[in-house]
Amino acid sequence: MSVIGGILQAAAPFRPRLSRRVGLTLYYGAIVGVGLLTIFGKLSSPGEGALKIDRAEYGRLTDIDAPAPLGWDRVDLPHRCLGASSATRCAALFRLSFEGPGADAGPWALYMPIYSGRLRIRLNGTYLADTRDIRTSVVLNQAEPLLVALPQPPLRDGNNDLEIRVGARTGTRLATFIDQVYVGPAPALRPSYERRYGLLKTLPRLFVAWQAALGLALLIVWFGRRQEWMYLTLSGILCLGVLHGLTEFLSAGAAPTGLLIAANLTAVWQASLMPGLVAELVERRSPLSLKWAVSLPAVVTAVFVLRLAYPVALQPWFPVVWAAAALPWTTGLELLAMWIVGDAAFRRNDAAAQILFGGFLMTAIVAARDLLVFFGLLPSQQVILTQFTFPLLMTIVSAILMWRFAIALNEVSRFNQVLRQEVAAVESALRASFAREQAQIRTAALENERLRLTRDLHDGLAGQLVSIVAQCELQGGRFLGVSDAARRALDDLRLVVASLDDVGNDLAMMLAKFRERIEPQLHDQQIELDWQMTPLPDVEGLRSEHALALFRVLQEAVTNAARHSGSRRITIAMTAASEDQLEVAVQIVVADNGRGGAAPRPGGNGFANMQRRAHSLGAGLAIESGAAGTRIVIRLPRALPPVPAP
Amino acid sequence: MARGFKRRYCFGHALLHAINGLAVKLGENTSAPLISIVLVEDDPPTRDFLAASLAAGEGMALAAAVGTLDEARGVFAHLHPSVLITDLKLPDGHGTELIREVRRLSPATEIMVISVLGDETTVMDALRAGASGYILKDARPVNLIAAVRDLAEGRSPISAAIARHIIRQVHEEPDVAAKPPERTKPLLTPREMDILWGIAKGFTYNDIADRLGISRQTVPSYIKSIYRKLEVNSRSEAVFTAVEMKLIKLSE
Repeated sequence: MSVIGGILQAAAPFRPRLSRRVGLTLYYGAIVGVGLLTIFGKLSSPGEGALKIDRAEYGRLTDIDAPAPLGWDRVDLPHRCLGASSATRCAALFRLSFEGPGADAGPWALYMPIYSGRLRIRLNGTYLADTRDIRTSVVLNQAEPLLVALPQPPLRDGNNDLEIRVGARTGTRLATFIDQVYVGPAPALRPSYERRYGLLKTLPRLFVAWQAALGLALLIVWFGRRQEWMYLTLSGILCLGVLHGLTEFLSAGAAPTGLLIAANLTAVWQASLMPGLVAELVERRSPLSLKWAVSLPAVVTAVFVLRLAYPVALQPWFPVVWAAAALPWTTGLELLAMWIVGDAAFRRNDAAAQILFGGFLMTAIVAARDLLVFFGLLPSQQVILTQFTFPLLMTIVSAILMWRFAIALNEVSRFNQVLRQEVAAVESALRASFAREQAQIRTAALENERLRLTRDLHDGLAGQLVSIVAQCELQGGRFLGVSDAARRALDDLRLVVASLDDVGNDLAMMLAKFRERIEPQLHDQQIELDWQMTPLPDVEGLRSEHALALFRVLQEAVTNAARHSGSRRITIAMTAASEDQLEVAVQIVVADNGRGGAAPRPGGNGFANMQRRAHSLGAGLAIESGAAGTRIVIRLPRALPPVPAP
Repeated sequence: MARGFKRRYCFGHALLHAINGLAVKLGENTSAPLISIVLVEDDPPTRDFLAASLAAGEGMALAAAVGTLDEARGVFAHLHPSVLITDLKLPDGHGTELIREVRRLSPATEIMVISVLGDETTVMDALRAGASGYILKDARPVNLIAAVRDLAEGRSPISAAIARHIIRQVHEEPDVAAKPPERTKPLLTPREMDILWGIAKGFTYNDIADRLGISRQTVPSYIKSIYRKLEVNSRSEAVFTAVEMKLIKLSE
């Protein structure tokens, strides 16, 4: 898995191509190495204390039960025996002799590292063992080790005669084979026997169990994702493998004929499903549609079923069908699948195909080897390994699928995360937009109310005041006092209206409105206004009430200066307070260059009013009056109190 | 009787017009040309007082002072004064109607609105109709005369509130995603926006002129140019639609 993962990751475009090539070369090298090992590898032999018998007298039998051989020969062991013709099977009698142990020897045993066929063993005329006869036509590994206890007697001190009758297993087309024979103390033989048994019997069963578990897991995946036919196909191939492998668990004679036939057909079906599966795995269209791919297995299966129904009539045709249709078909489709994978691996550089191609390479090597074994060209090998190649291929395919599955899950997680972030962003944007809309609605409502109030004052009160002023001015004389009072009322009304404007916390904008009120008034009195504005910071919590209080303080200060100072020039200077003045934001100075001497007059409450209003703003108010004129200094805090006192 | 009055009225105006034309012609040769003014104000005492104030102004000639929209139309049938000063609320209609008509009939006439409190929407309506300035009806003759003189010389007054109002309409649009691109073309130049900001923030024309490196006298000329851009007519309807669009999306 880690090798596959590494190579799959190497498929990412930003990885250097070199490391991918090196990885692939190592991978294919390992596969060829294992393949060669299956051809030239040797399993270990028993160790010290065992007696090896490598020569025997050989007599051909017509049948395993035949009373006596036709004649005698001497042969070397291991011996491989084919039938005289393809229709007959090998049957033979081997006579071996060895020196037995002393009477006080421990338990002895006979050990044959590998045999194929059916054995019947006699020692000194006593019938010791008959290997089980599995009636099967399954072409599978029927080579296994044999360990038989040699009881004492019949085992005796001195020369012992061992008689081994050999017969072909019913139905099999494999050669009958016996290996060298070892006799000796059982403890010396058993380790080697157990190693071989594990390798030749237990391991294949584990493979079957593994296929069953994987097939079930993939079937469950398919149930969850019905559109992914690849999982079902793969599960089907694995389940066919399990069906084939069930024979590994059968005891002698217990197998129902139907199951054995079904098991025998699995390879044809598996091969038929392969091209479609690998094509989908490497994201290519299969050149052979599923309908056509399963047509031949269906025909072959039908022939087999018919053979069950009319065994006598159809039996002769079975080998023809098998040899002419099933075998070439299986081989052909395997080669097609291999071509699809090879094409994707080397023409398109598909990483999954490159890994899968390793599996096919192994399959090809093992198939070639098994052919050699079948025809007896590899005398050292007897075990047929082809049955293991399908599980191997399926394991690789499953690994690729699981890797993709994991990557897909990662992708889903990443996508989820992105989605969650986007949803959160949209949500917060919506919330902000809603809040903004609410604020706008509130602002608009306030604005409408202010406009309505302004218009009402405009239409009524202000118009009337202007008319009064006009009439008094036109009359002149004693009406000028009324005109003055009406004009002051009008000015105050405008201050109130000006203060209603919503400028946020922008004090400068509010003061600009005061300037527009005060400048014409002073101009009318031939007094010059020196307005010194500098950039001002915002003042927190600025509201209409604050603005009006500030306007009235300033109005009072300017009015006093205009009336009493005798100055022709009034300065209003606004400056931002320096950073070290933590409490003060803005300082406003109203100054004249008049006669000074400004002080609270008896009966007058102008200064008291200014102080009270400044206090309501949380502002400091200082009056400096001297020979150079009067300065009224207002220091506004950085944050205004929430509700100013009236 | 009525007919005869009307004839005399018309004759009188024709005569006034002739005199006015003569005065303008004469003014070309003198240092200060005469500013002819038509005043429209419905309240008689106010009208009389304003008329008296204007008549006293140096270099100014009050051509007519009327109280209704209808009378004002009668005057403009014959007269093309330098300045029209009009109230908005008139007994037989709204001043903006008169402003639009005068802009069409007498393009050279500068129009000044005189109103009592001047809320922003009212003033903006008047500016869009074609007014070049507005002044509070606060009955201080000195200020009125100065404003009329400025206006006649191509300089428009503006208040901080109106400056801010215009800025809010054309400028403060941080994220209007849906607006079509052809409507986002800048309505005002950066300099004009700077001037509006300066005024809204309470800086004097001198301060603004110093900061922008322009002459103090040109600041009110910029204001007039801004007003002209705000004016609604067939030629610049699209610009105004843009302003209206942005007005809907006001945010602060």
